[in-house]
Amino acid sequence: MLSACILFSCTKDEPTLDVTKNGQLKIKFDQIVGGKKLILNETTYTNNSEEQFIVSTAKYYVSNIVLTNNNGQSYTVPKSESFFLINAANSESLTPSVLVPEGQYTTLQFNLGIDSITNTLPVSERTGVLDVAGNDMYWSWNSGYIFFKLEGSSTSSTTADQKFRYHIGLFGGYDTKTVNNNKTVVLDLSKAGTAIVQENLSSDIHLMVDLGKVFDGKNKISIATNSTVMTSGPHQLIAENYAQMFTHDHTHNYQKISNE
Amino acid sequence: MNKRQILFFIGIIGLVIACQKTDDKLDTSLFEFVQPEHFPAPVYNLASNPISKEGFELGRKLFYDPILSRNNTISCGSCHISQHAFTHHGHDVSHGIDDRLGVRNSMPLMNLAWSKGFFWDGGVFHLDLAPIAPIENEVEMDEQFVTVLEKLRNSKDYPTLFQKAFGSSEINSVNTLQALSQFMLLLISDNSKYDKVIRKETNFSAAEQRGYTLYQQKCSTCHQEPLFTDYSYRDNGLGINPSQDQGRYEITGLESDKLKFKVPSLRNLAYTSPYMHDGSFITLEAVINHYRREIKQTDNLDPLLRNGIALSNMEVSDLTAFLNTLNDEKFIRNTLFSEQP
Ligand code: HEC
Ligand code: HEC
Repeated sequence: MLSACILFSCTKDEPTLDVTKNGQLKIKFDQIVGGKKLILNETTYTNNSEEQFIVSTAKYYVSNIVLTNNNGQSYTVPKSESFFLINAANSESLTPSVLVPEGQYTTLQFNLGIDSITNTLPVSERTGVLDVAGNDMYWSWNSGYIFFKLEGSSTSSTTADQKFRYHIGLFGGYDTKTVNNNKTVVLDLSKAGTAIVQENLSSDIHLMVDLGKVFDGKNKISIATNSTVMTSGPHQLIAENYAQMFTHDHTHNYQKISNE
Repeated sequence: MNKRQILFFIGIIGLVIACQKTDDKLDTSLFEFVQPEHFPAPVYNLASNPISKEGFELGRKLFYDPILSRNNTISCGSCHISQHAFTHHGHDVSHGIDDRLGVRNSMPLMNLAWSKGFFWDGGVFHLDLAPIAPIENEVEMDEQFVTVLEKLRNSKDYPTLFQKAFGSSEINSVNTLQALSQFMLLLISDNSKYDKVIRKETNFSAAEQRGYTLYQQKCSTCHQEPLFTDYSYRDNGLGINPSQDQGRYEITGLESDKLKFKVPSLRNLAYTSPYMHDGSFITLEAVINHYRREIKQTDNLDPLLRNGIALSNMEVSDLTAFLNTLNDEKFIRNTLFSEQP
């Protein structure tokens, strides 16, 4: 009993993360569709509904990053530094990096979307990737960010221009409780490579992002049945699917910090 | 100079200074947000966007500038005309770029500092964010907001005007939206006969007084004093229209919000015809007859209207007399609000 107490208090008393010694953590988002690399406007892919399609736009917000180390201690990246717009058309956006205290991190958690508080910020605080102009990820008539955008063309589409368009958002409502399509993604890093963060070095976490899961995840989505999904249609099913797109592939530790 | 002359001289200087003082005061007070005594505290956080003469004037210029639309033909003022309490008089649904038609009636712009939600469905919850919706709406101005910013940056006048208003010639979404808000926030209508009666500056006529009592009994739950709306979303039994507009439901996706629309103010009705979200009512008489005998028993019909609103012909005329005391001529004639030459 006594030793249990001591043990317990030991973990309790363990110094919190040393925030004076920070290293870089880089997250690389490698976009794929099924087993194939994503090449915008070029490669043809098929889904399990046997529909052929090409992808022209793939964009989504990653925010509120939290890391947990092998001692079970969590580090939440300061909110203001924690908003990223991953855009397949912009290679710079695919490798966001953050500064985190030294440690061996076994869990990466982030939010896919933009939380409700951020959705209701005054305009003066909406800058950078949150700017309501220029990012093409904001609904002006139903005020809120679009969390996830996947567009492309397919002969299975029922729209006149043979396109499919999935724009998924909805943050839970301002004064009336509505649908919330924010999804928390939690990835265990211990199996494919714990992220070892050290001062002046970078730990690079490689994630595979399978956009094919949008059609063939937990829920089956067909382009013929749902060529356009925005605030009506199966947006919640697509959100459940995009929550499952991410897998941790491998980690490169002790990398030099470069400005690439 | 003898003593008398000196005194006289000082007197003149004093007068000149005093004159200047009042002039200055008059000038800036026009651009201040003056809280009407009988209104509640504003919802808009004025400290977040302090109103200045330069900011207001910049907002007004933007409001009347068609540069905000794709082909530079439509301004905010095209659909929000000051003499009509900023509605699009004569149009049931909005008439925008390339003569495209929308599905909703343009709304009056007044007392916006007190509003909790914008548009008929409340899809936007902050005034600063409201202008992006008409700019990007393909049947209204059909322009990308980011392109508007680009056009403003490349214009001859705007960088200087932004410099004057915000201390920096940089033009971005934040200061552009804040300038538009500064203009819209000062569109305060508080000078109708009703307001004067409340301020004890005048009295209602006997008919107006009877109409006021009727209004309080039959209309005030939804069209609440002193702004004449409670800013809620309700179904007043119009039924579904041919464009299948479901109102608040389009935003929340909740069955219980089908056919609910924002309760509009009853101020300035003399200038804002046609009425309702689709502009399907041309006269006030028709509106009152709707409440008397045309209510549709829709699923979300407001319980207050289940049995319609009983009014005798005499009562209708009294009620109308009262509604006419809500017209604010000073507001619609205020040249400060109209397009500048
Ligand atoms: C083509 C016509 C048209 C143009 C141009 C237009 N509006 Fe509107 N405005 C409307 C209509 C119609 C509504 C109601 C729309 C709805 O409920 O969906 C409206 C509603 C509004 C509201 C909400 C008022 C309230 O009480 O909820 C504001 C604010 C507004 N407009 C400001 C602007 C500004 C600022 C501009 C210019 C950037 C502008 N409008 C341009 C037609 C127009
Ligand atoms: C149960 C709430 C409720 C009551 C009671 C009510 N109204 Fe309304 N009123 C509304 C709503 C909601 C609208 C907007 C409906 C729409 O456009 O879909 C409206 C619209 C109007 C309009 C149109 C205004 C405009 O700018 O388009 C007028 C005029 C009006 N009401 C007058 C009255 C009068 C007069 C009474 C009392 C006899 C009354 N209302 C009672 C809810 C109510």
